[in-house]
Amino acid sequence: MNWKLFAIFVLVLGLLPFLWPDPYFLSVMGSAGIMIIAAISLNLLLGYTGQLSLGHAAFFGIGAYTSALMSLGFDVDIGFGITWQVDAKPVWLAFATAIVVTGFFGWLVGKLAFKVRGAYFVVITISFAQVMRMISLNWTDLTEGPMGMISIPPFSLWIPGEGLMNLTSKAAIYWLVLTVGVLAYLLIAMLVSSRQGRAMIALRENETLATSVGIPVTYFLALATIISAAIAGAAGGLYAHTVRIIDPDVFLFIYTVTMVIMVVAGGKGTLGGPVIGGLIFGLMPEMLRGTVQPEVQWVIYGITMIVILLFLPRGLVPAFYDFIAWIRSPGAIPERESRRVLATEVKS
Amino acid sequence: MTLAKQTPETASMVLSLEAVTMKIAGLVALDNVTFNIPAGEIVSLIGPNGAGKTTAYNVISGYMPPTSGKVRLFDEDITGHAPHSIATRGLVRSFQRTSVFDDQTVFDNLLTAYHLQGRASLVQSLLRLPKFRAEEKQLKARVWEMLDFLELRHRADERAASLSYGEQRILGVGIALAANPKILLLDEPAAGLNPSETDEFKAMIRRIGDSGVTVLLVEHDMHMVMSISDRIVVLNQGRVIAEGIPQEIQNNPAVIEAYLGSGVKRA
Repeated sequence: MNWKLFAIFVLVLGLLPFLWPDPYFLSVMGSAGIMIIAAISLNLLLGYTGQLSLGHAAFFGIGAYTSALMSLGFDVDIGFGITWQVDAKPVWLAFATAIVVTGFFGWLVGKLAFKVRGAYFVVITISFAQVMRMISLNWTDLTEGPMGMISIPPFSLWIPGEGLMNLTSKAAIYWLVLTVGVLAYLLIAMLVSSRQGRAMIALRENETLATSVGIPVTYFLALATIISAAIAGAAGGLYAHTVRIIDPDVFLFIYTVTMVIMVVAGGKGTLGGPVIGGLIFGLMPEMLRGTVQPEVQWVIYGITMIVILLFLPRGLVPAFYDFIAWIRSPGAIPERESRRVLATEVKS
Repeated sequence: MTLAKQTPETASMVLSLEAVTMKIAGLVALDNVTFNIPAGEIVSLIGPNGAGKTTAYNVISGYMPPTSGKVRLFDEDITGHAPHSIATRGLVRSFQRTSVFDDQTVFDNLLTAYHLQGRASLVQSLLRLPKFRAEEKQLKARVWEMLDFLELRHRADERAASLSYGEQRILGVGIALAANPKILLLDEPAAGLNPSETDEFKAMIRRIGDSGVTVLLVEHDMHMVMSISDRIVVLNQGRVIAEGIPQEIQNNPAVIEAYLGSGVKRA
């Protein structure tokens, strides 16, 4: 990890509200930032442990609903004449609860799904997201069903001299999302360069070999799902308290697909991948809004995606590193080529 | 013919199979297989194709639980244990084909393989606490030592997939060694190597044996088997048909029959 580059990048992003104080721009950056955090969490599963989870929006939605419910308080009849009542909790506590609860759901899905792999895992994660959507639509006592939950309280922060402030301005929300995003990024960066992270990568590269050197598969896959789910839950919690209205649409498949596109186009299994992919695909629809017709926007979105995957199948970030390496020594064969040649040699 | 090198009953057995039977979809892949591997020897497991060698490996290393019988490692019953738990107890295997982490550098391949030597907890790792830093430094030093042992130091920063085939096989053995085995199972390590690579490989297996690690080898290259094995176990159609030192095995009629057939009698 390149600390200097990272520090400059964070500094520039941090100063952005001063450089460009347009509230519309900051709000677009804020919502793109929330999707980027979700993409960072998906990258741990998809990019580092090599498991495709197509139900990642479920963790995002569980985080959003848990945080919203805890901060608003609820009472619900759970049968046998018992009512489960929870009083309204402070927003930060609700947010922390959301992270823990999604982590728990991550463990649950991990335990269930890692008995099966590949396509079966994909199907289980999709079904999980659908079930969550059905619950949020139909358990109206708890979730208000399709009406959604409204007037969710915002985050507040005690600032010296100013007292307790609600974080409702676009700049404040932007900084909040940036802080959580940087923490999520650092968490993944520290994880993947540690022994535990190496074990996860080993599972992606060669599961049988990983087991043979003593890496317990289920433990590390479950750990990766828990961490990944918890970060997605944090993104959901951020969404709930910044947009302040949620409805069952947070569980929609399209959100999962957006995360997958961000990760794959940016470069899965790289730290910068979800950030770069997220900035491009998170900002593009908004940036195009003023210039072209809505129908054309989606065409451009699709074409960009296809072009990236066609010409840079490993994603933008690895392609960028290849390019740097090529500038330094133009004679060397690009890594991808040599790998393909070797793969065919081994097979034959 | 004399039974030159009988293993004394008192010698400590690293690995023993007791009446192991393995049935796969009605086929008896291993039939009542019993043999012992004494400490510190290089033992080869040979036999014609389909004799059950790889199945025996899978049963020993925990990838397949046997239908019946027992596998003991240092007198502890490990039958049915998971592969990673058997690896923790000191038995590590290499694989026929997939033996390296392709997309990682040679250095990272070995660093990953030192997984079992690491103790730092998740929290210590994430917060980069002193324990993690010290451990990481120590593991990296061990990786350099291992690279010297494998004679791969000059390749440290290259992707494993870009190594030559012979070097990949050597790295594969290095990965297995990094798990600090007391007994190492090698599955056809010399398959596809050219003669000079085979010689280097043989030298490396000797170095491993000399360092006190017991080696169990499945191999088709008979020159290699005969020249480096202390003992040989011959399997045919799931049964042990002979066991002994290389000279005995070379002259054993049952072994010759298994490999060459007995001509008219079979027909």
